Amino acid sequence: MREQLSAYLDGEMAPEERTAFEARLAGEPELQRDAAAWRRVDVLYSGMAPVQAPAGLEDRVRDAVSPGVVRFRRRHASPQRLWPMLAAAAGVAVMLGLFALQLSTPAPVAPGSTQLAKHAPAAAPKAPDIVSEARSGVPAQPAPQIATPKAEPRTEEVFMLDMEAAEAPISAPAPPPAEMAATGPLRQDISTDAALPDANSGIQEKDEAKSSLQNVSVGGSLRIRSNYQDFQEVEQPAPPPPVRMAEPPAPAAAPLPAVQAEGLNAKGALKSREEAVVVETDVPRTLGHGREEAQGASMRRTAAGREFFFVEDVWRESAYANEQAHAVRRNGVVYRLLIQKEPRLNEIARLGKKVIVRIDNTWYLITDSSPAQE
Amino acid sequence: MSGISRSVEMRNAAAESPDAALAAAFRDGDSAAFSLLMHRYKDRVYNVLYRLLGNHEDAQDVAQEVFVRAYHGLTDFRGEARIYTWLYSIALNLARNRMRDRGRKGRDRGVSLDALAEAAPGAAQQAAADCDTPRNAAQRHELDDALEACLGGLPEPYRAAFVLRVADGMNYEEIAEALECPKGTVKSRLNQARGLLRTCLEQRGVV
Repeated sequence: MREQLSAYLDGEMAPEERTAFEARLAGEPELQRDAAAWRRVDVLYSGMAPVQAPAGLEDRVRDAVSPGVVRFRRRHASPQRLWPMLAAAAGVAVMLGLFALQLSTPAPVAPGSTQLAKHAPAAAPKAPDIVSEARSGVPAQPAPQIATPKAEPRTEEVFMLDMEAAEAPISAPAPPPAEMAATGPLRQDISTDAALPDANSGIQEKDEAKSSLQNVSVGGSLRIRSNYQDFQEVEQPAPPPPVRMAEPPAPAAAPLPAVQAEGLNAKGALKSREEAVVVETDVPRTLGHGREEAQGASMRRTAAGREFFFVEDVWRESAYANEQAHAVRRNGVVYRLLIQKEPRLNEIARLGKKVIVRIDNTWYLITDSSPAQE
Repeated sequence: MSGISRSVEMRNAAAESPDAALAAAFRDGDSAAFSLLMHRYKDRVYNVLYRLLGNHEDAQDVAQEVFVRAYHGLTDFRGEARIYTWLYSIALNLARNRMRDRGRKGRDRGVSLDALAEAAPGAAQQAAADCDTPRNAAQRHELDDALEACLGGLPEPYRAAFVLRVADGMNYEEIAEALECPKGTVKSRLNQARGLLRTCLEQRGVV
């Protein structure tokens, strides 16, 4: 009988079994005392206030399972990382020169080293031309890396390098039109008289060109327009500085120019060559309230009344400051839950393949890929 | 938005999706699905761990490990058991290991307000507020100490079954899943636990 007492107290008996047990219980006072004592035990323990998990538990778990939790950090081409590479390149150049002198014969030309140190200040690098690439559809070859002893390695500014890749054709053999010469290299209109494929491919190539253009420093803006006549409408009188080699990095506290992306379709591709202003971007020194995390944004867009910057292939809401962002697969279960909180989430998610957005004070990375791929 | 209202909304959002759907979403790449599962069960798991281990420090360490292991194991979870009983089985195994280690090190399971304040400031404040008079505080402490001491004195299998039943409200089937044993064993362990607790509490004059 006693071995059935717990099941009886816990309501784990079938009805007929319970009836039979109660009949026997009525005739056994000792069992009744046991049942009453056990009930008191249960009451005492169930009356203990439940303890709640400490507030930081979830964060600690997320930190411990980093693959599913995304923290976006800027990649810096820090001096500590650049100097060894530059020193190695310079060393190779010196060794080649000494070897050539020793043999008194023409030194063999090593690819990528001919412009090292000696010629770098005079010759602008031949950068991948994303515009001509866009016209032809043929990917541009990345330029050989150039290093000069005088070049100061600087903190990587993604957008600036993007701009450099795009503006490199300034030194191309074809002379620029008169309007462009008047405004200088900071603002360049590029005719789009050929078919323009998806601009995303150009953006990808720009990223690839970053490493080859680290010593070119260009400030200003890039405009790609369908024809030169439109240029007069947007020309600005600001005097343009020339393209300079090995320019030291600009101070981080420089004024913040506006960044705009216009004339793009949902995928970021150019709409058509007939349309007027296609792309307009300005070089930001710092963006997003002066936070370092926003440096290097190449475009700014507004979606669902929120402001987003495009940094390192991710559209980030302007307030994002490197907090944890939880990866959410587009159109997955959690995504649908989030839509209930932010009904315009679809509009935001259409910004691009990866979008960081804040919902209820939590950051989410809307993506197509799984956490392990992030 | 306040933390409380956000917490309520999170709970509401989580309540709309069953565990299995969240697990499937996690396997499909939604790491946030795991966050919802963790949000749903962290307090229950933590409460059980605290009752088993008797202090916040161990409960906190083990709870973190439970969810880390669950994160890594959830992709392989195929639904033979319910997710929360699977979580509890992880928790019970880890708690068992912790108790074994602690037994080797000879640590007791006393709980001080200082340790409580360090691990869970809100709970410490609540505990301090509840102790409105020295006499009440003394009585409350005496009762809690007696309950915790008796519970801590139970053999681990009995303690686990009792905590899951009384502190967490699981039924026998769920306890059997969590303990990975037959329902008859659960019934037997609960009988043993209640009998021993009664004896212990009577000796301390509680019942």
